[in-house]
Amino acid sequence: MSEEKKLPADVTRALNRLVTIWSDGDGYRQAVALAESHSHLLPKPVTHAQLNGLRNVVGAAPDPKTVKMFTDNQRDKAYRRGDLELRDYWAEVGTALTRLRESAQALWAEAGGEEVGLSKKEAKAARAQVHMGLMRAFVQHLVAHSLYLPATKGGS
Amino acid sequence: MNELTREQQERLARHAIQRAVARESDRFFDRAQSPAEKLRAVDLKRAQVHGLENIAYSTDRLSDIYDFLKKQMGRPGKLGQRWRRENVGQDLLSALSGLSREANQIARTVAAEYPEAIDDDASRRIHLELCREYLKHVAAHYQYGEAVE
Repeated sequence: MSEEKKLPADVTRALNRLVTIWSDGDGYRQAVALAESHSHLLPKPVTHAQLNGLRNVVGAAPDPKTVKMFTDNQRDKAYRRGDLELRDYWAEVGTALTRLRESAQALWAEAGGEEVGLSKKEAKAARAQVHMGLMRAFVQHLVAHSLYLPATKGGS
Repeated sequence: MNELTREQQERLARHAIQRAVARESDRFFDRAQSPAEKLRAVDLKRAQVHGLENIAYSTDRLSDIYDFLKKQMGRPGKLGQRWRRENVGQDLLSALSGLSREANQIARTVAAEYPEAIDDDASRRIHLELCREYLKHVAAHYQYGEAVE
């Protein structure tokens, strides 16, 4: 948002608050459910290295498209190796992260983002950053639960 | 009570919540002793215990605390084993998430008295405060136990 119009402080505060609430609520539940539904793939073929890789990519990615490219690449690599379960895992992770765009849109509207008067380009960029915030929270929960499951419940 | 402005209700509600959290905190003092002893028994170091306490105080998200504990329990090697030994990490995770009951009760009680002051997120924020209080006592008992050993 550097030289473009900045969000008013109250909208930024509202967004941060809503993302926090989402992270502790729906975001946490959805991520845990995704991990649980693939517990049979933990700790292999979904390894610590793959999970940490996902967390690093999402942490550094400038936009949601970069994250989608990563998950699509992981999906395609698994397919080429003949690991169809792993392929499906990465496909589901990619879908789950992409779908967070709808939640981001809802939070953006609830925080008053639509009333700020940004240009179309600025609004799109701002919503993308909200989407990234949700992705980062989701992946944090997914990775933590995915590391925890096999270690504590005798997963595969 | 219905003559109070929203601002007055919010101020009184904040005090009521602080008092309720303080009362719960005093109850945690005894409850926190056993987990603290377990942390020492499984040979978890002070840095680990204070790391957990620091997470609770530096975040505004409950899920950050849960994720920290899960990651610790999921770690390979000796450190992960210590967090999993005698269910010390799992018991802490269960104890902290279980504080939602007390948090909901406090939120309901205060909302009954000051309905305009309590929003949908109040229970979650109270839960976070309770987690901080609980971990504060666990860390204190841990440190005391180390010192007198």
